[in-house]
Amino acid sequence: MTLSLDLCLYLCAAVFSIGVYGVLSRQNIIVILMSLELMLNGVNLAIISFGRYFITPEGSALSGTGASSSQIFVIIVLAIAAAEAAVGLAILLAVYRRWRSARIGNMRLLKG
Amino acid sequence: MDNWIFLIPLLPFLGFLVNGLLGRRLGDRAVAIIGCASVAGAFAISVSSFLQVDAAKPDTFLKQDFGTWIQAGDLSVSFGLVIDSLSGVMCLVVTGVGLLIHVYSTGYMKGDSGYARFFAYLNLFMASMLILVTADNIVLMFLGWEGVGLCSYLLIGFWYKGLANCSAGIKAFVVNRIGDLGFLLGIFAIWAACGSFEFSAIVEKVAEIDSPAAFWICLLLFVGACGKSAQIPLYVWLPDAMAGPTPVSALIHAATMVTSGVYLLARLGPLFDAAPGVLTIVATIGALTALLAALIAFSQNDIKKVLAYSTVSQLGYMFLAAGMGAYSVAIFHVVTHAFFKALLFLGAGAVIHSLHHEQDMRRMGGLRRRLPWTFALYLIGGLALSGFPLTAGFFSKDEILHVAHSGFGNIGPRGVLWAIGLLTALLTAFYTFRQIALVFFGSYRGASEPQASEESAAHGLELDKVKESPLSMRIPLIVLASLSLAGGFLAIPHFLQPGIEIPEDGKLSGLIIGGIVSITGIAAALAIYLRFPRALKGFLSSAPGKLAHRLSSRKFYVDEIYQKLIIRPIGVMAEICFYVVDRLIIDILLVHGSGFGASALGHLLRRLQDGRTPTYAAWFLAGAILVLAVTLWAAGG
Amino acid sequence: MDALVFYISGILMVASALLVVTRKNPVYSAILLVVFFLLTSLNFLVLRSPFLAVIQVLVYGGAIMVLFVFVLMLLNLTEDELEEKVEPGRKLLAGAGSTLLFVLLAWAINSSERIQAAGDTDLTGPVKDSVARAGETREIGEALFSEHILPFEFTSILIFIAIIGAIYLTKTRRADERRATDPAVEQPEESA
Repeated sequence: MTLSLDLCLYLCAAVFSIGVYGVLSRQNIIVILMSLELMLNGVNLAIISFGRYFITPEGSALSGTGASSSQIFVIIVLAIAAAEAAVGLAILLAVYRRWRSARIGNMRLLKG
Repeated sequence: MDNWIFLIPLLPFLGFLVNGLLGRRLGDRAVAIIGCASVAGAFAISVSSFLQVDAAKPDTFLKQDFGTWIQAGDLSVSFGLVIDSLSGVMCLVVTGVGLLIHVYSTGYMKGDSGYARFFAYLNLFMASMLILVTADNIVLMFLGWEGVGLCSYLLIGFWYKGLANCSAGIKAFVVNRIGDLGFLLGIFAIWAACGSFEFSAIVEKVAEIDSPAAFWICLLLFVGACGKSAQIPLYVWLPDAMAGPTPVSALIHAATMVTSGVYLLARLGPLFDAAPGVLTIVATIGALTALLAALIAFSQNDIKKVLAYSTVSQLGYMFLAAGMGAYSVAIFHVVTHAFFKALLFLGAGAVIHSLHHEQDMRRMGGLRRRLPWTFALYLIGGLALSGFPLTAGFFSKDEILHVAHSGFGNIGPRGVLWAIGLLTALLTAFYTFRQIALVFFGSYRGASEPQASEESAAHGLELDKVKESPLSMRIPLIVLASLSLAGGFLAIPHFLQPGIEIPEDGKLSGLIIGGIVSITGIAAALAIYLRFPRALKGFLSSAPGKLAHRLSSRKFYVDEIYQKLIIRPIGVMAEICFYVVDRLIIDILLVHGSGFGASALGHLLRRLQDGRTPTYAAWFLAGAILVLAVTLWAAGG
Repeated sequence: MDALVFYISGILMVASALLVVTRKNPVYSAILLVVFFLLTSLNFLVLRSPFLAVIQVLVYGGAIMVLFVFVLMLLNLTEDELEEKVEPGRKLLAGAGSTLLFVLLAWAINSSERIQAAGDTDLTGPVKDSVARAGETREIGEALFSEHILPFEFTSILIFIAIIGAIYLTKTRRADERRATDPAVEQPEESA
């Protein structure tokens, strides 16, 4: 059985779309943040797949230290995801203290 | 002295500025002196310039150029003045008669609150008219043309507090405008055909212009002349213009402005000679106008209206002559007509003034005993107008009839037009002396008959209160009367068109016939109105008499026809434009609608910002999908 | 063999992702998300990125999810707070939107020539020798601290800022300080 690039990419697209669904349809803020992480992971998978393709003999486009660039990319994304999750949860805590609710439907101050 | 001709229009213009800006502060006396002095100065320079030109015959002229006025690529118009025989004569008439009328006005307008304004306007008119006649190119002439039109409007509506006066002024201006459109198109056509606006250049290039072009150019220019000189169909403004003060009627609507059209034709004579079709039209319209106006003058009751229609009629004569190619004969009649028509108008003004602004002839009568001077002078004017033998009018009118009868230059005789002209001469004598009979003979009807007419006030003046007019008004009348008697001997035609010979045969018999016709008309009028008034009443109560009277007094319904055919549709269009275009489309749809649309759009878009994060997230997704879809579609799927 | 592992884990990933977004109880979602991360890590291994596989588990599973669970426990949400009733049609619209997104992405993948041309290459197959060790720790380290040092530094600054932000946002305040900074409470007028 072979594993081709487009198969990987379909998987990533699926995971990403599921994450989008989660962001849009849930009320609980924490679950929304988790769906966000889902989306980011889908992207990570896509990057790694491309990186893996570029070190095969047929698709070789990278050489030297550039060959690890997909991994570097993912590391950065990971770090950012972590920072974003931390700040997002901090905001959630601050908001929860004030409004006693973790439902995104109750956060309406941006109106107008 | 050829460097001084620019003063001819300039002096009156300065008079206008001084009287216009400072008049109220200077006081009536100073205003009168300034107003008359500026015209007197212009007259003096006109005389000296004319003598120079006359003395150095033939075909010399004085010219003065002030540089370029308009410059646009190839097109250039210069500010140049010229005094040749033609413009010299016109200048003399304009400044001379103008001066007399200015002097007259000092007495006539005495006590009027707008004294300074009157003289300012009058001077402005003089300046414009003088520019018109001394311009060396047609665009500058048009400047003067428009200027006199403006002054006509200002002066007709001089007593602006009366609505009828303002309406008359507007009517004059609008009808003139129609003519001006033709004039302007003619100017454009001249540029297209000749490449120059100067009269000398145009005359030189006449041979190069092809027939259709010459026809259209001349026709368009004639339309302009019809407007200014009150020919059919654009004459309707002149009778209404009598709403202005009488000196205005005398100066503008008798002696000078209305002759501008004739002057235009005389100026471009060689050009019109190249368009014989247009000349035929000119002559025909001239003759018909003369007849029509004379018929209307029969039944008028206002002393000035009779003279107004008489002016239209005499202008018709001038165009009849011009249409025969005899421009010099037309100008001859311009000159004599200026003398006696101004005399008549000023005389009528004297009567009106003496009767404290009564203008209805049915309330006059027997005034020859109370106003002997006015009567005598008015009588002279009436004789000149009727073409009584040896008066100035006799010679000029008979010259015209002779030319119509025998032909002139290349143009053959036109019997029909001659007959019309002869008939009109008879009518002219008749209505003129009808007027004289009604005003000066018979018994005074002013205080006794309480007939109310639209024009005059409801009170009449006691006969013993009627006094002769002051000297300031009488002296100009005396001068004009002398000219009306002597002017015929000036031999102007040969002076202006020296090359062309007027056929001599039939001249004497023409003069005799003209004399007979004139005397017949005079006698008939005096007989009917003084001896046999009942015969007249009998005629008027019969069926044909009633019809004739109605047609005449209703001015052949021309104003009503214009109202129905032209003015009402334009009014309807204006209403449509106002209600539909302006109110509906612009105000409601565009202005109000765009405001409404903007706020509605704002309301719509505000729904996007409901403050709920899931909504924003959904719009993110929508945007992303949109971008993705567009990219995929653009990349060819 | 590797490909089979990838396929199975792929299917399980999709399943666990679906479960994550549909569970009512957020703790269940958290646990399932951890499972998802582990499966992702497995995929990384198949795709010759051992370093990242480990990092994935450590960071995502070990730090981020721990944080999530902490917060969940802290909030201690009651039954009605967990109520997921949304306005009608929202779930439908979200589902339609995400499906549309997936379709577009799939279409994009399908229509890309390069990706389709790469369909023959087996990602579990041989590697070019010169870059065979690309996913190993040493190589990543060399790349990170030489060619990509700048993003590295920026990321560290970013994390630093995130720390500050998180601390500030969650700082407990004294009673009067809390009132003074609460936007919903009316502030007493300050005499000028």
